[in-house]
Amino acid sequence: MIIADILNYLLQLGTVFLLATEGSLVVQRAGLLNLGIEGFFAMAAFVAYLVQVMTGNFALSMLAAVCVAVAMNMIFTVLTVHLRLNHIVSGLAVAMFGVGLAYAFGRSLVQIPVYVQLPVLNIGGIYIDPIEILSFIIVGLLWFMMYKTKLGYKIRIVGEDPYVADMLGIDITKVRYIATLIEGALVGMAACYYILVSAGAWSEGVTAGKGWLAIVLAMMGLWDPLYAVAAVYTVVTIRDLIRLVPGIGENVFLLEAFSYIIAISLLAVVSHFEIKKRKRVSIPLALAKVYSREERARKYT
Amino acid sequence: MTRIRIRIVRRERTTRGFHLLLTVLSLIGAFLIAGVLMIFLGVNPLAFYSIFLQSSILTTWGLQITLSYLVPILLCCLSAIVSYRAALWNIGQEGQYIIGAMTALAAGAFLFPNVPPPLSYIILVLAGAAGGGVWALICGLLRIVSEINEAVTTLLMYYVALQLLNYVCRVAWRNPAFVGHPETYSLAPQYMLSFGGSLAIAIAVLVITWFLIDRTKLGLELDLLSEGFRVAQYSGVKPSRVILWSMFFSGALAGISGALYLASTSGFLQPEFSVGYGFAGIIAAWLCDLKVLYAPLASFLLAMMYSSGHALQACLHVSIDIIDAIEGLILMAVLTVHFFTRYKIVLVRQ
Repeated sequence: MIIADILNYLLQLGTVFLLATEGSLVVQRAGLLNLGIEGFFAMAAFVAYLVQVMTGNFALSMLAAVCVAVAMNMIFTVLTVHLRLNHIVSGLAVAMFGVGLAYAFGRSLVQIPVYVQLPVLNIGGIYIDPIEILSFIIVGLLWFMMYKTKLGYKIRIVGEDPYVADMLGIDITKVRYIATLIEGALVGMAACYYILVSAGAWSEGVTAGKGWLAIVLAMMGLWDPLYAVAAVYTVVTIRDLIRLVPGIGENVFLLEAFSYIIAISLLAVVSHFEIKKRKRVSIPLALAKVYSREERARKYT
Repeated sequence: MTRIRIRIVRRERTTRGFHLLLTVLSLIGAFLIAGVLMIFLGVNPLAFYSIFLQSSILTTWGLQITLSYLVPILLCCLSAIVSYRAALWNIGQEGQYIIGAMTALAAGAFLFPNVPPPLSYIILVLAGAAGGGVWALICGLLRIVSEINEAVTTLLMYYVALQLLNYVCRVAWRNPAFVGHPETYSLAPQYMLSFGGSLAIAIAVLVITWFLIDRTKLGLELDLLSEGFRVAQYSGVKPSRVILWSMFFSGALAGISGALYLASTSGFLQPEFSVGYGFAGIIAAWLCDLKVLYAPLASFLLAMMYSSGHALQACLHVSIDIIDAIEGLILMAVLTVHFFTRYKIVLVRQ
């Protein structure tokens, strides 16, 4: 029975991180390093909670969360794609803005409970809800999009070398907009599912660090939709088995710190391994580099 | 048929006055948007502006509080400037600030509690610098060995530091004399600094930093690295060496910030010790356009934001988190200035 409980919990949290990680992966594949994800994760979670409190309709909450996440992600896209600003600092600005806004407005929601009951499929005590199934369908769709369609090819080449992409006649601005659109939608879904199903209540700092962990997980999965599943479930399992240790008390903070260190070490090992085999795995080499069309020649000076 | 197309063209040069004008305009813009946010929060924007000014500079006690926030933000700002000059993206100043304070406390409360005053301050600063420096150096090493983007690792190391802070306050160094609120043991009394003392040390650090990165070869190495690995290599500079020392230097400055703030305020750590001075420092660094000598002015503005936070919460009943949102707005506005000073938009008729 306890094992079923643990699996249920892992599946819920894994779904949150899987959706957010897949979103971050698409946008990183297009060469954008979007740290703003932390901000619009918080904003989308806040809006989802607000809509749920007001209407009680889960589908409507998810729609609102997706819209907000996409809209906030557009700030980042304008700053980095049009204004050619540094990705990291722009992302940080969006993150601070989103987190600040979400918790400033969200303070009135702290005492208000919500009750969300999704239809579930019961397989031997393990409850699977539609969003969990959807997350795996999305992984498959993204894999198909990334490797079997023209759009995926364009996203990959824009992330690997925007100069070559431009010469091939690919509209870099458009491709990057589509990538951030996909990211916004997936992160919005993740945030809505997290706050309404997994966390179940709004509290101060409830979303802290979720978005940033997703960025690391996308890197750890070598920006591949299928590898990302392994990365997400490995780290989520480590992180959350720690909490289940009996009698852990306040040592949980030390173990929590340790779980971040494990995530960083895993990333280091995976990246080190990947550098040696660069020929075989395609990676977004232009990640976090600003592309300026009018200054193409400067690349070689 | 004529079509008008928008093209973005690089400016050859800009004057300092133009830059200043744009910066002031962008700040006004950010505060106007902040006023609109206040309306959504159900607060009169005029009341917001008046309380913001009164609680930060117009009253004596407000000015005192602002100045007390100036030192940590200024040092984090210097830390950001050092790393961004080299195009290294250390955004974990907040984590290095926490670790710097923790190592300073370890030195001042447990390792050398009986050292006389002039020496004790040197130990305080060195301990903070070592702690923050090593914390950032780890990320520099990961960058060199595994090519992981240092922005991501510094950010995650901030979360590690935050959890460690919670752990030392609640378990490892918890002072049992405080019942209820988790607090650590205090620094020995000869380590405690007055506000003037911490400001003097901060100014000394500012001058040293200015000298090192604007007047010596070290600063040139930073600029070369920011032009790219190849450029640095062709100029005879080893990129990995510059990455390591500039990450250490950057982390050390943030670490000193934590140590000085600890010694000039309560002398003990508590979970609320991390309030975001590191992130404020990053914004200040962009506000002063990565120029060390303007850093105090930019940091002062960010310090004003922090000192008004509690007054806003008490008088207008808005959550203090709104300060983060306004800081995000300021950063976006300042970055936009960065665009307009480097490029201009021209309309081309075809």
